[in-house]
Amino acid sequence: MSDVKPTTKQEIVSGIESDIKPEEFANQEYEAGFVTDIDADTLPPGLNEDVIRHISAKKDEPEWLLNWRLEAFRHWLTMTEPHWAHVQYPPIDFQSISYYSAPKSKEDGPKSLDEVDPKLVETYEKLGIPLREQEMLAGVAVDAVFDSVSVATTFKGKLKEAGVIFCPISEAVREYPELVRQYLGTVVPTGDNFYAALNSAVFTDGSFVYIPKGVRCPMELSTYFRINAMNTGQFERTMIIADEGAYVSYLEGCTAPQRDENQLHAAVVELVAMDDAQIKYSTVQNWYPGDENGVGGIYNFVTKRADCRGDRSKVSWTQVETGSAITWKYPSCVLRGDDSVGEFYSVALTKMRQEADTGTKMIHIGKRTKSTIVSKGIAAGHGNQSYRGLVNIGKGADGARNYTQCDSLLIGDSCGAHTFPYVVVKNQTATMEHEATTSKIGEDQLFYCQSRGISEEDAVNMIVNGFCKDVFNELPMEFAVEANRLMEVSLEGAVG
Amino acid sequence: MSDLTLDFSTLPGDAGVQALRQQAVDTFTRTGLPGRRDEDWKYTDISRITGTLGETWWLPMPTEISVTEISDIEGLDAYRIVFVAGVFQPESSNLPDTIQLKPLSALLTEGADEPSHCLFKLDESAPLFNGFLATNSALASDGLCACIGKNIKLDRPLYVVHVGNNTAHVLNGLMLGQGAEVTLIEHFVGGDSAGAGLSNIATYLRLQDNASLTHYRLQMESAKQFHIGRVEVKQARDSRYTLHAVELGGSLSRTDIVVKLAEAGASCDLNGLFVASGRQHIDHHTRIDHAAPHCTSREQYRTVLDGRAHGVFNGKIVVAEGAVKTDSAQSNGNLLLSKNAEIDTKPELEIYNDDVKCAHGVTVGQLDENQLFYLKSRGLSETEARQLLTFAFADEILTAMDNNAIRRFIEKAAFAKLPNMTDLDGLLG
Amino acid sequence: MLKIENLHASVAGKEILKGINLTIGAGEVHAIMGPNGSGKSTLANVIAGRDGYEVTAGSVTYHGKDLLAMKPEERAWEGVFLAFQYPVEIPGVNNTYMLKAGVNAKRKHQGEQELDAMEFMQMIREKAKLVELDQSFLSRGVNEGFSGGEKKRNEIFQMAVLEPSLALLDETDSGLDIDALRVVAQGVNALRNAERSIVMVTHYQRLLDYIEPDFVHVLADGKILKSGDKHLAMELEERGYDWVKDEAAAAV
Repeated sequence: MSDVKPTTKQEIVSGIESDIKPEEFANQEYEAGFVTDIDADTLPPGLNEDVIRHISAKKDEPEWLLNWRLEAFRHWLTMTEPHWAHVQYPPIDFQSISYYSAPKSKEDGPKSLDEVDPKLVETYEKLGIPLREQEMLAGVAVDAVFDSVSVATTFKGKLKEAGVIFCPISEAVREYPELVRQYLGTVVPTGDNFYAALNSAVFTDGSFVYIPKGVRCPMELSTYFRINAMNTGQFERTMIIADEGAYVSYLEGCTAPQRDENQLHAAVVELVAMDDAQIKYSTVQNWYPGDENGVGGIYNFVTKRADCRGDRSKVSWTQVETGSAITWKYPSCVLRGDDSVGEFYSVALTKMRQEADTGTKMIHIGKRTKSTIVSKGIAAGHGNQSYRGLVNIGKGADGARNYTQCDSLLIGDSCGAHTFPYVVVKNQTATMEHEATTSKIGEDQLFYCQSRGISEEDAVNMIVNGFCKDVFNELPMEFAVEANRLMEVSLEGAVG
Repeated sequence: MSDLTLDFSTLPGDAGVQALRQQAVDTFTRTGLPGRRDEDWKYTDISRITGTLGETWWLPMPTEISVTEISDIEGLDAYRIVFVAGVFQPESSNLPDTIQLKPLSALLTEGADEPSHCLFKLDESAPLFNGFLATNSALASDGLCACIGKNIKLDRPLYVVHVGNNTAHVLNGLMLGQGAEVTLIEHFVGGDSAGAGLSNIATYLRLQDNASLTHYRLQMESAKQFHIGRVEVKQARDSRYTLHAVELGGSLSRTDIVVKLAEAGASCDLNGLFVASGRQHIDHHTRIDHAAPHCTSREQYRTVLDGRAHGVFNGKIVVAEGAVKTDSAQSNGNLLLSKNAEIDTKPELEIYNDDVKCAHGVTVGQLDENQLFYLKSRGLSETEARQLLTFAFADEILTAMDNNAIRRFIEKAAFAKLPNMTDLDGLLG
Repeated sequence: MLKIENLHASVAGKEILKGINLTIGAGEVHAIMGPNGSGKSTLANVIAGRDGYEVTAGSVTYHGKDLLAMKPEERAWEGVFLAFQYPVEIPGVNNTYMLKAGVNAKRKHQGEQELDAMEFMQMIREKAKLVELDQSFLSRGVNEGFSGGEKKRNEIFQMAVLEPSLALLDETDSGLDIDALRVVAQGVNALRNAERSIVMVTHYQRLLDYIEPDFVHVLADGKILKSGDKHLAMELEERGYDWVKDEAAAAV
């Protein structure tokens, strides 16, 4: 405790091989840049109560949910867009967005991969994430969201055996209405913020996970999000409930086809952890960031929050954010239960004209609650990057502890990094540690490696990998590899 | 607040020095003493000094104790330079003959001496400049003055003991030539006394190219004493300065540490330890100026506060526009052993270029209940467990001390202050 | 082995080296001294290939090859080593891992078999002893959290591992206490051999008491004004640099 610096485990950096040749990265365009031509059932742009009724009807939702949506919409109308984030973008015309788009599907939906539109499967294969291979090799259950409706869900049988519910939220509304109703909006209320209200009104799909008491989910759960149809906002709603003593690791990964127009993405993720439950939520986000001039790219305004409701519950957020034109995201933990633990590990990379304002909120309510924040920001090109974090120690949070480390790495002269740590302590028995560094990857470090016989490309990867190590170590193995590769690809051309 | 009304003719120094003293008085008349409206003195109320000592708080007085009452640091092999009530004691001292070292009083009476003039010259624009420093310039009549020649590695530390529990103004200057290596120990002791006074100590340190100075500053004044200190360091290229500042004694103690890394490759390492109890008030303001490229600064302060003790730590680091490749890290840990102890801590970073590495960390906390429980479940008593964890908290600062005799001495003195911390022999091994 | 002819180089448009001529034979130790800003470090950096130094005229021939045409890593593969004046910290990048990557890239370049992890670890443990570098430094990030003296020792350790044929020591003695200087000097002396040439750039004459040079050169205002043996260094210590400049000016 006398040492403010964390003692990080030092080990030989695993030499993760990249199969990308240097000359290939030289003009590395966005890898996932293609559009799959699927006939979509899309609503015309615009938002009013009829649109919400239409969405609800399309999904065959019960009355209570429609009312819940309408209430959220009415609340949203009274709210104004927040502007406190350190990002700049043109005003969004919410009436020019289409709020529903579903691929055409058979009446009952596909029951296996064979029934899935072959073009869709092909899309994933182009992205290097073939479902079948994952099924066979990785043992990962995949709930693929293509635009706004889930079209393929695997491994359901195996999960069902364990009692785990893992399905599209629309299906959960039909199959487990009481469970959904019990938790929906209890972590992120409909009127929580502008985008959360919008999401509540128009959300189309997302994942629903329920892990019953004492169950350790037998596999990593994974969802790949895509944004595909032109001008379609995506409003996923994800809920994960880990009942007493349950454990689940959920992986979320995203890429998106190349677009010229900005696309709005306002998801809501709600996590609930009961007594002794643990949820590990990992994200690799690689949505289209726009081009060098800042044209196009995704606007990513997300509300992610976990409620550590039970004693000794634990939630870890790990995120690797390299995509989107604008990111506005603060995965948070409400540490309500005594001895509950919240963790936030983040690597965010902004390059070209990307802007990110990201961080976390740790709200300590219970006694001896503990939170850890490790944020690594990398800014290159004209990228702008802000860490914004709140640590709030409530009056009753005796013996609460927080450790915060936020490091920024600047690559080049035109990027920026900012740190906005907010600390509110209302209990004197709390222990707070805060550490911050800003450094620059310079010709110096590169030259040093080169003069030891290491090529420039290898040197950049080595240095960034070293910087991100604390966070990558938190990712599940297969995600760590993907994250590594993503960083290498994203950074090419950023130096020299 | 009264003006300084002293007849300078009683103080040593030629006309040049007397003129500088007069300037210092004028400066003081203009600035007065700092008040709580000054941002740098927000948490330290010096009316506690003036209220106790009265209008002539600045008036030097003989002390009530003698040097014989002060015991040595066991096992310390050093050159000894003793001052009692701010006056050099040749018979108690043992000066090295290999270097130029003299008490300031000798230099002043021997006639014009340029280096000693420099010591009296005030720079009001210097960081954390205040009225106490002006008072020191106006009234100081003794101190240590030494120049260490090129490539000289002094075989033993310079151990400077300041004995007294009344008011004294002491002015020290030490210059290290190129490649010189020295350890300086400043030890402030007072013993028990009924009365109180002010120790007003200014120490100017200059390090030339590649010089290396290790500086121990051990404040162990008597319980009623007030201590105002200033350490000003200027470092040339490749030079290294290491400070171990220990604050144990005094009623109110405030020290300003001002380090200027003036040339490329210079580095400084500031270690601070406060152990305070009762109603003690201990305040360190540190200021590190990174004025040149490739300089490194490390700063770590630990405070252990018990009773109604009040600690203040302000660490300001300024990185100038041209000071690229700066590498700076600051950490401040605070352990509050009682509900009524208070710490005000404030790191301040001002960075004017983007090619730097700066880290800072602050912790404020109590002994960890889980750790206490763990130790108790392994059979340690509550007292032992508390001792062990408190000791572990301060350990980083103690282990940084490369002089074993001082480290052992401080370990014992520091923990003897805390309740139930007396039987440490088994712990310290 | 190394031949520098009429070398001119500028930094940010400002000419720093103004016609350096220097020949270094195998196994020789050369010391380059000079006042601040004379171009000593620039010379070391130009030879090692740092970016931002523009060679405007002249040539550097190393083992008969045009050194200036090579990338920094190629120079390393060919046996050029620079001990940095300010060794760079690379957090999270393991010291051993970086060295292994460097050594194996060099071996590959020379058509030798790459070392496996076991052989490599054995080799570096041996070399670490040479400069009394604690084993724990091997597994830490490159220079991460090292003290000034530890960084300099790490440089000489890396030199021992990479076994260069030309080692450039750029102010390796700066910022060292006398005891640390002794350790570093012992390491360098142990690495002296008939094939390995060493160029020491230094600001302080004291270094030469511990590593005895075969040749001493005075570099001032971008030119080598005077060359001699160890006695020249002693003379510089006594008389400073101005007399060398005056002599050179008188000779023109």
